[in-house]
Amino acid sequence: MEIIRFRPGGGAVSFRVEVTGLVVWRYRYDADGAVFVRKSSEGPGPSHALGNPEELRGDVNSWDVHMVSPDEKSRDYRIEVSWSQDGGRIHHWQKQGKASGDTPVTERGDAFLLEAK
Amino acid sequence: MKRGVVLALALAMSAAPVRAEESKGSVGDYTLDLAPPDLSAFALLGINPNQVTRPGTVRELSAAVLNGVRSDGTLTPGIAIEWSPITTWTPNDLEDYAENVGWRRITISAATAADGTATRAAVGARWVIVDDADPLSNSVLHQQLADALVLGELGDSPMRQKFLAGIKRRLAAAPRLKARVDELVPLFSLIPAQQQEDGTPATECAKARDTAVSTQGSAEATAKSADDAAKAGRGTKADRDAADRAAKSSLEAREDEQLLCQLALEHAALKLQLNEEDRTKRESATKRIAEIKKAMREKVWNATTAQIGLGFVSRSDDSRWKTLEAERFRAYGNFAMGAGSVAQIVIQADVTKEFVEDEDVALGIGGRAVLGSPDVRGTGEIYGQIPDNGPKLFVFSAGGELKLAQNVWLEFQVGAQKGGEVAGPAAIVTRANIKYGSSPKQ
Repeated sequence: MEIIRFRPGGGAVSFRVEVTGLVVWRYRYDADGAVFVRKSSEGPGPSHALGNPEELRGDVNSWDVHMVSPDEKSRDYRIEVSWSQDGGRIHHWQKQGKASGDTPVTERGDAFLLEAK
Repeated sequence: MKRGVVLALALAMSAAPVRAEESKGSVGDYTLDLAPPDLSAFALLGINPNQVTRPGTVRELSAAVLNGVRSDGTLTPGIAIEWSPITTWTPNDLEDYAENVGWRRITISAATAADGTATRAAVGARWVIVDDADPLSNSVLHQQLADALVLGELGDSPMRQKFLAGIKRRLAAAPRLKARVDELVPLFSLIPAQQQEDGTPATECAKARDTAVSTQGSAEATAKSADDAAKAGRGTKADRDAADRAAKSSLEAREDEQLLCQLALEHAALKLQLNEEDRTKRESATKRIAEIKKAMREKVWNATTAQIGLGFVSRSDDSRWKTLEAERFRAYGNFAMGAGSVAQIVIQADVTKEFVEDEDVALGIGGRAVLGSPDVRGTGEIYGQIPDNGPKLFVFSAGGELKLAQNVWLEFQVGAQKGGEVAGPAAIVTRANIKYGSSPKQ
């Protein structure tokens, strides 16, 4: 579980999911009241706007990233989810591992969104 | 008779592993285990009945052992190895593959074969310029696999939705807890990993409760002490108020600890539940991915491929390295394209320069038709070579290719050669070889 703290008086909060090492992936990010889905064949994941700070206070978000190696080789992957506000990164989450050629891999996480102390 | 025995032995020895490997199940379904391409060094040696080299997806390492017999009874055993050095030396990730795909499709190869009492050796290199069967560059395959991943997606898991809604509601109802929400993170990260093994959550929560109880006990003792002192006329109202505040704070701390424990345990239970749901979903995705790869394999086994190659052949009459002499140089180009889903046509053009005797330069052209499926196919080939000074050469051959096991293939051919250096009736050559193409699991 992650704690993402944003500035209450700041601009909108957004996030981006990046997968490196594998060309076949799909992610789903569940925000309160919104779902963001992206697959590798649509191109790299864009920056998704979550909303303004006053709308996010106390939200709980979760995300799943699914990946598979397109051939028979096991391949190293790295996932980074980063949250930004006013152009600056306020939090990031990373996972690394190895995806085999026969079984899809899933990495998932969840987070509280809270105002900065 | 003799060559029949040799071929039968080769087939029998090769067939043995088939049953054992197939019984292991469906590993092959998950890969695009296309046949290793013809090893260029073998083609250069000119000992194959077929002269046309079929291009194919580069393997990091391929090897072939060959045995055959000519119509005069001469045995010609041989061995060849082909290697893609860039694949070995570059990182195992697809970004690097995409950047260096051209380099990765360059291979070097070496082969040697007995020729009576003499030995021939060849070194060669080839570059696969076009490879529509390459799974790492196949955007259609990537898209299908990405679509299949949705089957492994939990999506609106009712348990997760309930947990997420519940935790939000409870945090909203307990504003005091928000100040301590950071304490949840280590609890959350600790519990799911260990819950299945040693009951750590109970231990951790017990510790938290013990701390709370201890704090509360201490506060209550302080309050009682202050109360007693006040009754005995030794304390003041301020002392009693402080003791009350401490007791209340202690009570709140205990409530908070209990709620934190409860949330952490619920989160742990959620993780376990999600893992279980995930396992079921992933099985479904895995099955679909296997189907996609199998279908793609059937679709691309005869895909368009093009390559160029070159190499040198040397010969030693007494089979010693020191006496090897350059015999000829050959450069060639091949183009293969599918014809429907069950056939492939391979066209080759080559030029050969002899270094011995009359130092002829010969132009060759040939074609091969392949008919079958990804795992079993037959071939027929015709090839002609026109030297600038000498008799024309014609080669006809027929054969087949059979997948024996994951990465292992048997190839066999019967060919007839007319013209060239062979005078008189057509020479008949029978040959079988086993090819291996590596696909390491890491």
